Amino acid sequence: MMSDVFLMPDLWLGMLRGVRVTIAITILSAVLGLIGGIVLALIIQFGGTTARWFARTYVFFFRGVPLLILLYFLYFGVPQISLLRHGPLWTYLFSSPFATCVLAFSLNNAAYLAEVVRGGIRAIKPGEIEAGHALGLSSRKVLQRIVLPLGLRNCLSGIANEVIFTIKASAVASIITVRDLFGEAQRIGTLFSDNLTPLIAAGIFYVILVQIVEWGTRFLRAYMHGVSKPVSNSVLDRGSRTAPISQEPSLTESQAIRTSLHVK
Amino acid sequence: MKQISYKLLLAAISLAAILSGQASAETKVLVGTDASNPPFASVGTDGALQGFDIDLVNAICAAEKLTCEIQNIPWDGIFAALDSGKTQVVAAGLNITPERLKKYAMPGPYLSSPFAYIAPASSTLDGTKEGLSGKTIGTVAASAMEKYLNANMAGTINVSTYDSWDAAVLDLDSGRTDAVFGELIALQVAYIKAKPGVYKIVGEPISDPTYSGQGKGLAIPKDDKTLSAAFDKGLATVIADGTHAQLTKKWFGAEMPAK
Amino acid sequence: MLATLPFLGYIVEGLMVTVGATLVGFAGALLIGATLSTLIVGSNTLPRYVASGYVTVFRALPELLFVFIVYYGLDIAMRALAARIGIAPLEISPFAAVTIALAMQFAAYCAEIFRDARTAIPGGLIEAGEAIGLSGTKVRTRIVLPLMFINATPALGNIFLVILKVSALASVIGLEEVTRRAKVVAGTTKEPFGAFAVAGICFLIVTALATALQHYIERRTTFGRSVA
Repeated sequence: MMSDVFLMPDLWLGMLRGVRVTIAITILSAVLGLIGGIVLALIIQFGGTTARWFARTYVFFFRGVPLLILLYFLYFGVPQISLLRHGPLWTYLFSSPFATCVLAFSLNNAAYLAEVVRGGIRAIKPGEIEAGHALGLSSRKVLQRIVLPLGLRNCLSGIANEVIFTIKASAVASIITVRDLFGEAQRIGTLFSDNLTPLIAAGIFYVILVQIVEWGTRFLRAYMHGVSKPVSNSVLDRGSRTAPISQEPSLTESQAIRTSLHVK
Repeated sequence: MKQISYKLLLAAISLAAILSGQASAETKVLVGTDASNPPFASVGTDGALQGFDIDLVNAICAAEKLTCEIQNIPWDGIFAALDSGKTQVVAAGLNITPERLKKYAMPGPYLSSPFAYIAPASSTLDGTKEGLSGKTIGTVAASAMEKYLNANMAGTINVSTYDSWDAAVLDLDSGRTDAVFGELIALQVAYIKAKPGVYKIVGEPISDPTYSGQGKGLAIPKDDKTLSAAFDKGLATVIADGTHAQLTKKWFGAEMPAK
Repeated sequence: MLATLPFLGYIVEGLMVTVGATLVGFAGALLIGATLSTLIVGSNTLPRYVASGYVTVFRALPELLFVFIVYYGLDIAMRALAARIGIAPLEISPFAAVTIALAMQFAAYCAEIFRDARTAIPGGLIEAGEAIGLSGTKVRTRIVLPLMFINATPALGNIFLVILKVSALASVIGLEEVTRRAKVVAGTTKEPFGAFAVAGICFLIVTALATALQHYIERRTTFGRSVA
C-alpha cells in the first residue's frame, strides 16, 4: 500500500511545491526573527526598567501562545476588527496568507531567539567585557566587538535549533491556506487516504533541509572561532580547551591603549 | 548477582505495566471519528460524542449486536489508525471515492448531498459560472468539492483550500474569499441555520455523478470481510426500519434518503 | 464567547495530558541529550558518529511522523516479540508513545544546546579542578555538568516550551490535549476565537510557571557572573 503512493508523480510534484514555501517562510522569518530577538535580548540584558518590562512581556506572551493559535487570531481574528480591513496594513499584510504567516512566525521566532541570544550573552565571561572597558572601548564598541560576536557565537546551536523548529513548524501554516511541505503531505494523505506515506516522503526533504542548516552552522562556528578546522570541544583535552579563549575575535594592540569608560 | 537480575526483571515488568494500555476485549469493534465536524460528529458540553455519524454507528452496532466503541481521532491520524488496526472502522462523513474503494470496503452510501455555494447574505453572486468568474472560492483541501472545482472551474475562479469547513467559512467572514463551496446538507445545518441571516446559498445546488453522486460511506479495511458484511447488513436494516430517516430528521432537520 | 463557557472544563481538563506529556518528555530529553553531548565531544570515533547521526536524523524527522512510528511501529514490534516468546502482547499506551517520541526527538536539540554550553565553560575552571587534584570523573560531575546545565538554562527553557506546544501531536493517536479539545469545541460551537482564547490562556499560565522557575534557577546560579 505504501509503494503505490510513493510512485505517484502527484506526491513528488506536491513535495516540490511545498518545499519552496517551507524555505521561503523559514528564511524570511528566521532573519526577521533574529533581528527582533537580538534587540529584545539586548534590552532585557542591558535596558532600562520599563523597556526591560516590555521586552520580557513580549517574550513571555509570544513564547507562551502556540503558533497555531497566533496564526488563527492574526489571520481570522484581525479581519473581524472592521477598522483593520482597510488601509495599507490590510493591503500589504493581512490580506495575504503568506505575509500573515511570515509575520506570525517572525513574532514567534523573535521571542524564542531573544531567550537564545540572552543565554549566549549570559555565557560571556565577565572578564572579557571588563577587558573591553579597561581598553577604553565605548559602550557601543563593547557591544559591537565583544557582546554581540561572542554572544552569538555562544548560542549558534540554539539559533540553528530555532531555524529547524521553524522549518518544521511551518506545517501549521496550512490552516491559513499556505501549503508547505507538511501541508502538501497532508493534502496528498487525504487524497489517497494514507496519512503515512506522504509524511515519509516529506521526511526525506526535511532531512535534507536540516542537513543544510547543520552544514551552515558548522561553517559559521568554524568561521566565528577564527580557525580553519573545527575546534574539538573535548573538555579533557588541554589544547582545545584553551583554543577558543586565545582565539577570541580581535581586540588589537592599538585598541588596547585607549582610556577606560564604563557601560551603564 | 541473582538479586540484581531479579530486581531488573521486576522493574521491567512494572515498566511494561505502565506502558501497556488496557488490554482490549476481542469482541469490541473500535470505530474512529473526528469530532470536530458537526452535524456528523462533535462533542457535548460534557465531552461526550454526538452527531449523525455517532448515532448511525450505534444504531448499526445495535442491529448487528456488536459492541462498538467510538474514538475521537483527528483527521491527520485517522487513516493511520485504520491501516494499523488500532481502529477497525472509520465513520467521519467520508465520501466514497475510487481511491478509497481501492483500499477499503465502504458500506453505504448512507447519505448523499449535492454541492452548493454559500456567500454572505449581502452577496450579489448568482452562482453561475459567468457570475463567479474571477472570484475566489474557498473549500476544503483534497475534498470531492476541490476536485470538482479543479475539473469544472479551472481558469475561471481562484480556489483557496483549507483544513476545515470552519476555516473556510471564517475566511469568507474576513472577505478574502467570495464564496465557500461545500456540501449542501452540512452547510445548511452548520452555518446557515446556526447563524440565521448571515449566510445564504447562492445559485442552484450542483449534483455531479462523478464527484457528488457516490455519497457517503464508512471505511473498513478490505480484508476484514466479516466486519464489512456485518456493517453492510446493519446499515441496510437501519435504513429499512426507518431509524436512518429519523436520524436525518434529528440532525439535518428533514428526512433524507440514504442515496 | 457564551457558547464556549460550558466547555471551559472540557478544554482545561486537556491540560493534564499536555503538562504530563511535556514534563515526562522533557525529563527524558535532558537525560538522553546530556548523554549524547558527552558522546559527541568525546574522543571515541564510533560513538561520536552515532551521536551526530542521531542528532541529524531526529532533528529532521517531522514530529508527527515519529509519533506514528513509535505508536504503530512499537506496537507491531511488541506483537512480533510477544509471539516469539509466547506471551500476550503488551499494548503501548498513546501516552507512553508520545512521551517516548518527544524525549527521543528533543534529546537531539538538547544535545546541541549542551554542546554549546560546554564550550562556554571557562577553561580555567576545569584547570582549577584538576589543579586541586580532582579525578577526571569528579571534574566532569562537579564542574563540567553543573556549569553546562547553568549555561544551558535559557535555551532549555525554550525547549521546554516547544515541547509544551508540540505535545499537541498527542491528539493524532487519540490523546485529547488542550489544542485538540479547543479545536473540537471550536467545531462544535462555531466560536473558534473563544475556544482558542481559552487554550491560549491555558498555555500562557503554564508558560508563566515555567518562566518563573527558569528565572529562579538563573538567579540562584549567577554567582556574581552577571553581565548586566
